[in-house]
Amino acid sequence: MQNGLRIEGLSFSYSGNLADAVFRGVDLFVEPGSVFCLLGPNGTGKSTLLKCISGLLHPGQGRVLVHGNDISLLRAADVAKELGYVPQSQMSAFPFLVEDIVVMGRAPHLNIFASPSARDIRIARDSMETVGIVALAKRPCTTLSGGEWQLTLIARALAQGPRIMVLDEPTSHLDMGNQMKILRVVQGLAERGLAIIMASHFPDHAFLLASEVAILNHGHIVQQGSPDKVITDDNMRDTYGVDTKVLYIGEGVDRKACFPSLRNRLQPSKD
Amino acid sequence: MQSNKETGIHLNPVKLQVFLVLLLLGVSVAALMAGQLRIHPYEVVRILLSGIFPIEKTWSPTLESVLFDVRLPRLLAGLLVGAGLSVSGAAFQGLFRNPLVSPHILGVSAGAGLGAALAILFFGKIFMVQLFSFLFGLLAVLMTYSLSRVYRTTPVLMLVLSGMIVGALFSAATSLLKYIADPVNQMPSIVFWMLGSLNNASNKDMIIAGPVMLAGITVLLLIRWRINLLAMGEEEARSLGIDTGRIRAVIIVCATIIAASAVSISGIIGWIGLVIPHIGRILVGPDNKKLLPVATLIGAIYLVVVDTIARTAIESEIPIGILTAIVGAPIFAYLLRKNRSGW
Repeated sequence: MQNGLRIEGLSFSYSGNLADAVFRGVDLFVEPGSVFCLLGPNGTGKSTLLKCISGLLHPGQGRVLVHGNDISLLRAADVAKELGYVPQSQMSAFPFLVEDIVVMGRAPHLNIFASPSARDIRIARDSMETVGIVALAKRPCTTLSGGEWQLTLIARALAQGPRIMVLDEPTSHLDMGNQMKILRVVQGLAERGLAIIMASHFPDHAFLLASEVAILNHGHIVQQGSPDKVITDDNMRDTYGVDTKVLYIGEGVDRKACFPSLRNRLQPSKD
Repeated sequence: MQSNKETGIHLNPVKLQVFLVLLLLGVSVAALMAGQLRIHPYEVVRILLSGIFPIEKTWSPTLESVLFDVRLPRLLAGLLVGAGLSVSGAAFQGLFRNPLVSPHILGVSAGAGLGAALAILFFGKIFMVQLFSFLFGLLAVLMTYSLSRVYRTTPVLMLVLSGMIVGALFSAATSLLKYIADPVNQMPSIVFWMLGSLNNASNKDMIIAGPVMLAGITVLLLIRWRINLLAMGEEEARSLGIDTGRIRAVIIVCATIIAASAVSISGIIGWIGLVIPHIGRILVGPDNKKLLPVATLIGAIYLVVVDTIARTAIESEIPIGILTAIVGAPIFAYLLRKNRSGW
């Protein structure tokens, strides 16, 4: 049995007809302890791909293997024990307390008539500690900021006890400080040995913490590999349609970064 | 705590439940003693116990008959209808992710109304009215549910809209029946039935409907923590490994059976299923694990209190559907203004 998350030949279409597939033939592998960053312009199906991976949508073709087990053959609760999904979620209609939401992550471990036990509550508390939101435990979720809400959802996914975590644009709508806070937490989870796949709007985030990057565009993975190899001037221009410089910054930053330009055609395109 | 001010009081649920159970007992004894024939509370308890233990009968047979054949079934009906409507209202509010939903949203009362009107028109017997209102209540929800099925799933929005469609259809048919009904006897019967009353509750009703309603209430209470997950939304619940379709069906079946039974016993009593869960939320917060037991108890207490007022306040009986709102609205307004409940 191979640990980690493996995707083989995954295709999906909403109509069921693969001629108008959202994406097709996606192969990728996420190793335990690493962060895989999924890039791509808005509307290319990053979220759809992550939902297929999490078992929320059923792919037309291909397989999703969690530690070598095909998830289409597993019960939803068994998938949820191994794979935590952090959605792009609106806040709840009801002012549930943060601790009540985090403990919901224990659902796959409980039968239909059960309520969380003292042990479940302790696990939820540990998750909140890991993510650094213990102080928010008694806060109604409707009073949280965007970053706090995102951390709550990550803590809930962590309470599921998964070895794989799928995050759908966890930093969208957040300011710079909160973005880094989330990325630090994600990095911490990878250091604990979780295999993490994360969709992002920001190529820079891949330089910050990803060991592997894929670009999803026009229904295919068009590039895949290390951030240095994938995030290049040309690839960024082809993906986002704006001229971009990717430069190495020393001076205490010590990484590459993307610099998009407002001007078009800084360099002539290859084609 | 600062945050508690923003979302209700968050009382200790265990202490609150003990208090509510005691209050429920007190209110029940009061309901049994009150009426044209006042019975002393000590006597009430003794007569009740004589049903189980051999106690020497020092009271008149009339007293015993009033208690066992009139007040006790009515009390039980009030307890069950109040508890049932409240708990199914709370469950539906979680299921539909909307605090403005009542157990009637899927058309159960519109269906029951038509069934009752038909039975009044064609049979005129109270038993037939109860049977028809129950069956038509179920029929209406069944229609709503099948109408909302698309691609083997039932989106929440489709359910609500289907409920509106079915409700409109059944209400229109009821109006038509009222229009063609005999205006001297039948039409007032239909109208009074719709205003709600526990006057017709008999021991026979309680033996048939009681276990059914109790079963529905019990199941909802048992799965109450899962309702929290549904309240987070379909996709999130599924990502937590929940079979949302199945649990939604369980909630709808239970709430429908409860509401249809309640309507068949007592006519249409609005307000309770909508507002009691809110009062519960103000007291213990939105966590359904704490909310559902509290809402069940408050609903039972509330309907017994209101029904006792309805039958003792003036010479003739006040329709309870009217009174639930007149008594409840100011209480709710007060609580709402005092404690913002966070939505």
